[in-house]
Amino acid sequence: MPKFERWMALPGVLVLAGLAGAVNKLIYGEHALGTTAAVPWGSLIAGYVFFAAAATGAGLIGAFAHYSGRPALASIEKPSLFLALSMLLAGFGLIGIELGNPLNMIYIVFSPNLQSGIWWMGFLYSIYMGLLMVECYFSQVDPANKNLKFVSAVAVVNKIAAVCNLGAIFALIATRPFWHGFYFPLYILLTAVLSGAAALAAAMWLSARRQGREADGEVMAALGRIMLAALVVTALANAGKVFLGLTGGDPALREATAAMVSGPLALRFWALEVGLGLLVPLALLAKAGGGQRVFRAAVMVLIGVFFMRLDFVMAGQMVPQVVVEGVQHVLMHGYTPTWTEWALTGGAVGAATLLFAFSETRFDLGTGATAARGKAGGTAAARV
Amino acid sequence: MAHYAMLIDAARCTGCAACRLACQMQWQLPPDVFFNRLEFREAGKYPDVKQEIVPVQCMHCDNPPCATVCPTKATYKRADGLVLIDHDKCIGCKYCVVACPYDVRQMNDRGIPEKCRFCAGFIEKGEQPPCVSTCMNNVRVFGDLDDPNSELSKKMKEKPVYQLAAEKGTKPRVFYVKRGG
Ligand code: SF4
Ligand code: SF4
Repeated sequence: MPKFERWMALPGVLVLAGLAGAVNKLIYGEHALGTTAAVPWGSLIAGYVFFAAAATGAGLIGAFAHYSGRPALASIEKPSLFLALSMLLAGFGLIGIELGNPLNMIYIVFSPNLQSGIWWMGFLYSIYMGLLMVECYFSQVDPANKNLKFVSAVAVVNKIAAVCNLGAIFALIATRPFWHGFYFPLYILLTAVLSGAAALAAAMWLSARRQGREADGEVMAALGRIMLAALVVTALANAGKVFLGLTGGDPALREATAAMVSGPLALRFWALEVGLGLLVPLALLAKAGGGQRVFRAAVMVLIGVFFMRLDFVMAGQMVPQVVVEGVQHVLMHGYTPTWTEWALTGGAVGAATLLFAFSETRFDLGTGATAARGKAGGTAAARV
Repeated sequence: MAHYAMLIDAARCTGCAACRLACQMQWQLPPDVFFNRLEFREAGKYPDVKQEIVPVQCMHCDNPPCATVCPTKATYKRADGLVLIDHDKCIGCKYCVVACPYDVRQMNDRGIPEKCRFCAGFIEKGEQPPCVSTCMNNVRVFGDLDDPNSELSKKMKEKPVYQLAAEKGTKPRVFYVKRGG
């Protein structure tokens, strides 16, 4: 049984809130969500995309650490696997609760539709979870096993395919111009790396603090550099998307982009996605500084990327479809997440945090927390 | 094999919504769930304006995006043209709801999308869907396009017809008589 540490109260409360949300969703079904027939996908889908993409990004950075052989990154190899697995499980939990009939997922196997992006998502992310488990296992019992190289190589291809397909789920819907096109599969790959790096930086920093020491400066700096590079490209990609969206020929694309930059989503877009999630971390990371600065930037990036996912999912659905020429009932469809959705999202954050923390104490991730379990673990945690 | 389709002469519609109610009775739907709806729009230029009504329902598309995206083939297209939902296979992902360009899918209380079923089961017995039979003005004609003697086939030849949002490539099986055609 994992040992309780004082700081765990916060993620623990989040998990309890998430459980309350899950019970409410089980009782009231769709009525517990803010989604409607016009906006069928809400914050739980955005939350799932957030976790699945961040898990993939963390895995990709772990693979980069593995193949690049950079000493500064060597210590994140094992934590990246366990963190990716924790976030993926949290994401699966969210989507499992969002689905109306998760038990019918058995038909993904018995009645597969290979044309469906969601089918491929189920397939690729199940493989990702399996590969992660294999990699986690080998990392503990036989890190030098020669088969591990093969597994890792397959996993890299799988990760890229999985996250690009996650984008393609949206990009292939021709009737939603804001999502449609080649842009999003690439954008989600880029921002997966961004959020994966941020999640790793946050985890490494918290792990060190848990043991009452400073995080390894070189590791934090390396993760900070990855985040900085990804932030610069993300900022350019965002600017391009907004420019093309506002000047493009498709009125529905223009309206959706306008909804984001100057409409109902504008406050969230500018304040949380651009300000908190992009510009402030850019400014923080552009200056030299210690691990704490990278940690702060990482937390901001994570919050920003969550709202980036939410804005993206929303902007694609808010503009009413033209079914009958000349008929438009509302200017924009509205959607507000309910407490159930917030509780579930918070619960997933808490669950991912606790899962990683427990795996740190249960297994040897090379972060030192395993040793701390028996010795300083409890007291060190009190200092966090 | 039959090739079911529907023709709607919207210019004859009075807006009484009996079709919507008949359908709700047929499938025992709660008041806020409906498989067909009436859209009202303004047409013409002042001072010569009038209101036009366009009944909308599942188009039973020949190229249905809802079925293409469904991961478990819960939404499927039958050989006779009907697009149906197998509730037992549906995972409730709502991908089909997002992908339908006609906004006709609604979630039921069991987390499964619902929409017009073209009254499968009834039509095979030779009955007409209630939205058709209840209409006092014969706005809707339902039938088999493969049967040249069906009322539908004959009516389709009488006047020019069009489909809603045909540019989306969905190949709808619900046709509309062109106004003034
Ligand atoms: S109208 Fe919508 S629900 Fe009906 S077949 Fe076409 S895409 Fe599917
Ligand atoms: S909600 Fe059901 S019918 Fe619709 S795409 Fe998902 S599994 Fe298929």
